[in-house]
Amino acid sequence: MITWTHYIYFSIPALILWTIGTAAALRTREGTSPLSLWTTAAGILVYSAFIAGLWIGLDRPPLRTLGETRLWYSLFMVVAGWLVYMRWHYRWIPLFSMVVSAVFIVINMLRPEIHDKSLMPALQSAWFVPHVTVYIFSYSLFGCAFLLAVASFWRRKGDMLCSADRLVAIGMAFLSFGMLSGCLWAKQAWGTYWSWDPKETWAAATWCVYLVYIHGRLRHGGVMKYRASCIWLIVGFALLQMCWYGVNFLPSASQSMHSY
Amino acid sequence: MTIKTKLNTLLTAPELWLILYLLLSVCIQCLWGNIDTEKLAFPVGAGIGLAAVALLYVLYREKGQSDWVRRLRSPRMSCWLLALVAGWCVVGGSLPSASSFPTSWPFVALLIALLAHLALVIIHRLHHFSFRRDGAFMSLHAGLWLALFSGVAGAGDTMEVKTIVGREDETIMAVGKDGRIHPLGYSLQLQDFSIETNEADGSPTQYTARMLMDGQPVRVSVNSPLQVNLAEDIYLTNFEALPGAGVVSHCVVTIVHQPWKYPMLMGILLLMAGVAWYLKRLGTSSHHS
Repeated sequence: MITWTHYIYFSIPALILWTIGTAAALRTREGTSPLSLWTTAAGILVYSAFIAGLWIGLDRPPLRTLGETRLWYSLFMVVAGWLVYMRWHYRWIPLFSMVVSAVFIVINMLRPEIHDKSLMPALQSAWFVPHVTVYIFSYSLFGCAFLLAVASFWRRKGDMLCSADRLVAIGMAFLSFGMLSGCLWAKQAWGTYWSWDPKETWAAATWCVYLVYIHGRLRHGGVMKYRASCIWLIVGFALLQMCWYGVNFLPSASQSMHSY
Repeated sequence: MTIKTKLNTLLTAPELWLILYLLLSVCIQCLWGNIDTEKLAFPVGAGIGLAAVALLYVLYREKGQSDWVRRLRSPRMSCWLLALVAGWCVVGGSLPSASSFPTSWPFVALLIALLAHLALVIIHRLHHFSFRRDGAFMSLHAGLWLALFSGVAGAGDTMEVKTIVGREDETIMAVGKDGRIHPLGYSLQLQDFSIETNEADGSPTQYTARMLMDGQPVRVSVNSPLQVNLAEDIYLTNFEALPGAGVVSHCVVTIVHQPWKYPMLMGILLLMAGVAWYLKRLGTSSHHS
């Protein structure tokens, strides 16, 4: 049975494979590197095997705690980076997505938040898995869009924002699914679709900021210039971190219905 | 550009009027405090909302091509409104929940402005509507409008009360958030309370209360409320066991009366359909490109 004690045996090989993939991508000047794509895919498989094993071992989806959500984020971050590299050939994106992913892996290694308890009754719902996974997948897409925004800001060129537009559009669709499924679940569990709980309020702020970006970029170079676009993406990502875990450090979090 | 032209441009900017409108709402907030949502209970909230939509329709029909109305329904105005809502959410999300920011005048004023903007966008699109071209757009915007409208206009009709249901006596009253007592209209009495546990570690996986409602057996579980009627549902919130005996002596239930839950649900489902449609389109356009 796979438990958190086996984490290191999966995460280290995955990180090694991703590092090889990143190096191969950086060495390739034109198009994509097949070595990079295959080694990254192998790393994803190794890491996914741990998540699947942990899921079976715990007898519940490992999505309950911050440590467990970091597990998914570190996986989806590399998956999103891999897809972006495959689609748009930015050779530096595997490096950044791997570094962000590695940060979460190292945090999980140094502070292994081992949870062997079952999900509490409030979380025993068919909505649980779709609600959390689509959210975390959207977070990783926004993570890649954030990297593109920082790179564009640094290079003072807006040529990467077309890719960011695509990532935000897809991320926004997943974020909306996560939020709307959360509304339906909240009605079933608590009686109201939306209660302006601190977590919901920060989620609304994040949703609105990414909508500002999408509406601002409706016509390329029209309403929103590249510098403003980058700033909105950076603000959106900061709000996303606040919504994800930052809200737990606010005094209002003690009354939140989302604190388990 | 002369000073007169500059002044004219400034005065005709919808953004300026939006800021003035929000400043007015801040003044009202300072004078009277938060909105008493009960005053917007049906038919007041719904009536005002529908009258506003009718007025916006007339405005669009008469002045739809004017520069001012165009700017009112422009993506630029969407950005302004969404950014302001986001800003207010950041402020509200940082404050203690006791501040009740969702019922503050500036926030409600912002939501009303967003509803009006969405209504203008929808009316405009309806004038040259094509299902294939505008279906996803309409589903997203109409869904958001309906969900928001149900939330704002339905706030006055939503009531949440809690009560303790014991084994000894029948419960016929409940307490609201404001401390007022409300008659339930039926009686509740706890018959049995079961706790399902995980065999592996003994942790609870489900709580179920079996009760008598007007003498008829009913059951409420976590994530599985009891529907009393079209507008009202009962939720299992808490329980307490007798010390030492381990038997649950009483449970706490929350009764939610929300007649606007169906329009709200319709809005959410429309939004979900719009998102799926939009995602499908993104895939198609990516494939073509």
